[in-house]
Amino acid sequence: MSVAHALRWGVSDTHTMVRRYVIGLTKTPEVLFFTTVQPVLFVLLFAGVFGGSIDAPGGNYAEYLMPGVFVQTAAFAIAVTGSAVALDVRRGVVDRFRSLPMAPTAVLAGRAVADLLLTTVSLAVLSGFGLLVGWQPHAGFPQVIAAYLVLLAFAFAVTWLGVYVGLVVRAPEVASQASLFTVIPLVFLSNLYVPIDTLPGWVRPLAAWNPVSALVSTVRDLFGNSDRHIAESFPGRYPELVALISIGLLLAVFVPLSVAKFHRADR
Amino acid sequence: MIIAEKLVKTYGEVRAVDGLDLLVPQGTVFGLLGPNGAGKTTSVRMLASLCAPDSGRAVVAGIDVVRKPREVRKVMGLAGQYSAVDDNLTGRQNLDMIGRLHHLGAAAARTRAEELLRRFDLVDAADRQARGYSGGMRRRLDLAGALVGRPRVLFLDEPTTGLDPRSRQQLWDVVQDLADTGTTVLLTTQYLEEADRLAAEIAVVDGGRIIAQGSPERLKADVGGGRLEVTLREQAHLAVAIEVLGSLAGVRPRPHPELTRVDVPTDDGELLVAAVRALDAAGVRVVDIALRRPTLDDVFLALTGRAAERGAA
Ligand SMILES: Nc1ncnc2c1ncn2[C@@H]1O[C@H](COP(=O)(O)OP(=O)(O)OP(=O)(O)O)[C@@H](O)[C@H]1O
Ligand SMILES: [Mg+2]
Repeated sequence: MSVAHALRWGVSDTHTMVRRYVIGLTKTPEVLFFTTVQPVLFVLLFAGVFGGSIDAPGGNYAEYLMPGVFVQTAAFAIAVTGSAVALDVRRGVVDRFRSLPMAPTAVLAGRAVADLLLTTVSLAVLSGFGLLVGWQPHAGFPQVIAAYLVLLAFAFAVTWLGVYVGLVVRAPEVASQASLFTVIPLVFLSNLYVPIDTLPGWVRPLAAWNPVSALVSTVRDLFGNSDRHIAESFPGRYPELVALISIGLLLAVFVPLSVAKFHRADR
Repeated sequence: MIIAEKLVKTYGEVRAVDGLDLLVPQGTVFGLLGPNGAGKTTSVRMLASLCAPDSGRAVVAGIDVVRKPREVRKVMGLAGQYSAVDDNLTGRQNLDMIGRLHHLGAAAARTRAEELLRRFDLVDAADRQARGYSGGMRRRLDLAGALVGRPRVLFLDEPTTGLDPRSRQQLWDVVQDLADTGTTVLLTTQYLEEADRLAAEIAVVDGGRIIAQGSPERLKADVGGGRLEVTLREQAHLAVAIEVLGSLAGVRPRPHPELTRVDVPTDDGELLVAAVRALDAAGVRVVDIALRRPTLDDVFLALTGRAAERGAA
């Protein structure tokens, strides 16, 4: 089979799979509801609890917080991916797909694309909500687009981590928790809610080198929302570089791992 | 045609399949009969290219399964042990999706879905979400999914477990039909009756090995067919019961260890009526009397001298 031929079927099969997942998402609106409402709740809670007490760079906590919650939303979408993949394995749906002459990677790629669409909707709703509570971008249109592209690239990359966890854990009941476990420490030990220099001393080096911090800084910079960089650390000086490398690494590691695991998928 | 040569698959210490040899000629139905944990699913998954054997060779429709899984998938169909149905899609959408993944093209996929919905009596439920389907409907939808690509070789892993008698009968008819039109079918089952009904050849598996193989007639002859099972109220009546039943049947009945049950090997339904009358006349009080067909347990008892093991699964 020629490469062009394989590619054509790969794209066509992925399209078929995305359709399947999107129909699934529309039939379970609670997934869309909770993945969208949860970050809104986080904004309300954090802005309400910390809003007054945090000495936010730029003086506006909503402006500081929103880019972080965007990143968090992209990261937490992993829970949906992990449990959906595990459920497919458990139900034997993966066996069914693997018994078909389709492009096997299309099953996973379809999932990743569908979850990216889900995150896109969540980010759109959350952006609207952010505008209501006083957040707004201060950069030009191209930078704002770039900010969203970085967020979506991160969302896509982190989905593959969720795919892998789902394939490894196999128990749908724990897969969503297990996938969240992989991102929760990264999200909380970072500059996402508060500036690094206000964190306890032992957390600061971790937070400075945490790729999530670099990602959040990158998004803040692109939106033109104030940030306080930790200039003495490499990631503090070059957050864009660290963010892009992290996204690339996530993909380079978890796409092949997931594909290999899928070929050996077992109930 | 399906060929397996010395297939082995181990999971840690467990030898799930331990040297499986099979030859299923084109257009015939082959039954793998075995209790839980015998290695039926593992065998099917290896033959259907879903998991790689540790050693051995598998050839399906002339294609080496390990070397060319993609080619094998074009000519085979699989209905796994658990109905692989997408709950969020309707029955029609499920089949349509599988048709597209077979690269039939949108129009042909739709037509094929329609055909199969009709064949499996799912037309009325076609546009309802599969989530609301009964167990039998899911099973039928899953089997329909296995047939979308018009497979030459069909693998069915316990296709009728959990089905009511009517659905089971329906499914048997479909399998018979497929075999009659040249499809090669390998099915696993825990029911001797099912293997007997459908398969030209049966292999009994236990602990990953084939412990007996042959036509249903031969296996049943080994097992000795059915039996009349009589349960007595009082142990004291045992001797009388054995004598009465023995003279009726012309063979010596077997008393059970608990000494209130007697088995008489027979396939004759009339013996039951005669036995009731004769035992009553002899003053033997009977709690239960029934004609039992041979089960997997009987096959095991006859073949191995022990009851079928219920595996870890
Ligand atoms: N993925 C796995 N990991 C570990 N052990 C496994 C795995 N799959 C099967 N086994 C073991 O291999 C043996 C055979 O299992 P298999 O599922 O093939 O049996 P089966 O005949 O299909 O049983 P059942 O009637 O319960 O479906 C069992 O002891 C089982 O525990
Ligand atoms: Mg099984």
